[in-house]
Amino acid sequence: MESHLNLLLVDDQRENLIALESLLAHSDYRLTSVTSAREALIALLKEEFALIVLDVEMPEMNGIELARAIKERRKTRDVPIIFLSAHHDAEGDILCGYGAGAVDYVTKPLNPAILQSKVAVFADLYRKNRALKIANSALESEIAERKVVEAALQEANQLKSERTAELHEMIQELESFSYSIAHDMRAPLRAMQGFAHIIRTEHASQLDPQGSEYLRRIDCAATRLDRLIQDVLSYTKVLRASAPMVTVDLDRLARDIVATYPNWQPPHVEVCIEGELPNVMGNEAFLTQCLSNLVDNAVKFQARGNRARVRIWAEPVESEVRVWVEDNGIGIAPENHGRIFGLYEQINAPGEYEGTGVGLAIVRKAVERMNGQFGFESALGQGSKFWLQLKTEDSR
Amino acid sequence: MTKSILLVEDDENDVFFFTRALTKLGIESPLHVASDGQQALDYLEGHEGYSNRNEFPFPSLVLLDLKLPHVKGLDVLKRVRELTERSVVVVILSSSKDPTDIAEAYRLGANAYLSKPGNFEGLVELVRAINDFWLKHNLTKAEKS
Repeated sequence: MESHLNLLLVDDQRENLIALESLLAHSDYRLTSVTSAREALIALLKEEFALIVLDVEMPEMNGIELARAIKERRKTRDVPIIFLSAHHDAEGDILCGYGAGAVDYVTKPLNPAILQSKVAVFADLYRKNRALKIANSALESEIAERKVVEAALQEANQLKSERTAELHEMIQELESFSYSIAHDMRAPLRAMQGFAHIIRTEHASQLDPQGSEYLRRIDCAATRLDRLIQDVLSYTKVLRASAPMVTVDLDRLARDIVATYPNWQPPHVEVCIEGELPNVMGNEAFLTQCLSNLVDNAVKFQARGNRARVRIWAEPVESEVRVWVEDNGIGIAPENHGRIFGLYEQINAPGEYEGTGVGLAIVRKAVERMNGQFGFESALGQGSKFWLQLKTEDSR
Repeated sequence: MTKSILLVEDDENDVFFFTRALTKLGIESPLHVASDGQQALDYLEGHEGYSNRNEFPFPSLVLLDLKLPHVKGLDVLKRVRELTERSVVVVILSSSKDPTDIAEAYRLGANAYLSKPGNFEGLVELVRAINDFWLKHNLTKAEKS
């Protein structure tokens, strides 16, 4: 029903209006006919029109004056007008002042076809404009909707980053809390070990064998807890410490580490670095943790009475370096391959091998923080080969 | 003049082991103990009950723990370095190996930073080394020999 176009026909001659009505009779048009400028203005106040067909020569206010009044009103400024003019040449100039598209004229006597086609052009223009307006307003409401969604999204993002910051802060607090707790636990432990030592060395004569055995157990438990705390501290340190990546002389580092541990020396144990290890990109403290934990495991997880033999060597893998630590130890059963990197995971029966289950977790975390890779090959009874893959100066 | 030690340590077990290590090594330097940072400052500045320098001599060596109640070890160190009239050797003896603690201690003028050993044998070794270096061989500017 909105497809009806309102046309306003203005002519002081009733018979001219009748002629116009019959010329423009069309199911698309709804015609309103008025006989004076005053009536025309009233009609324009009441309704919206797609087009005005306007006789120039009228008493009181003529067509030109009426057109000026229409064009001055903001609401009707854009309504196109077709003047019906008797004197083509004289009025052409006046009409030019209105600008293209807004105004046209048809000379009298009327040529029905010309009038019809001009009206049809304006009608078509109006329809297109209307469609454009509808599309525009749809677009505008869509944009408004999007803006609402965007604002909501922005708010959600803001909330998210606030939460993330809060969480980060909380994690940091927790980490530093656990760090200081672990730290504080060492003082009473030192006391336990110290007093056990004093009783053992100075009061041994007052203890029966069972008492001595209990004392030994206290000492062992304290030592074990101390080691656990130290490992946890190392782990949190690897988590927390800033780790600038620099070129590390891996060969010197590995040889220094191996020389430091009294338990890794011949004749009980043989730790052999084969060839010269290359420089790698990493962090010396982290690499020290990695190598000492891996070699420590290699030496520790041995069948009773077996002499540990550990080989360390490096090989290039593309532009990176893979460092191997191979042992002749008890190996790892396939079903346990997924577990060994977990924090506090211990594969073997409690008490069988000393340890805290933190060592490999430290290695994994340290390698991760050095943007490296970490893996192993092992089978039960056939030893283990652990590897670290690290970047070199050529890697980037 | 006998050189005395001021041990600033809040953990009574650690004080006990330290005393024992001195005894075990036959070190006879007088040992005074301050169990928190404020007490250490009072002692060093001769305040409140520490004014008698015969009974409470100004120490040749301060062994300073970092984690202390009331006034923290690093604040004690800072204050000690502000007391310009006497120079004193301050050696940090802490269980912390935190690089920022270590850096801060040296920045504030610690003479050395030692990590508390995990067991008694280690402590005995450390006390022997402290005694040899700081009390036997080291010369400070307050004394002319």
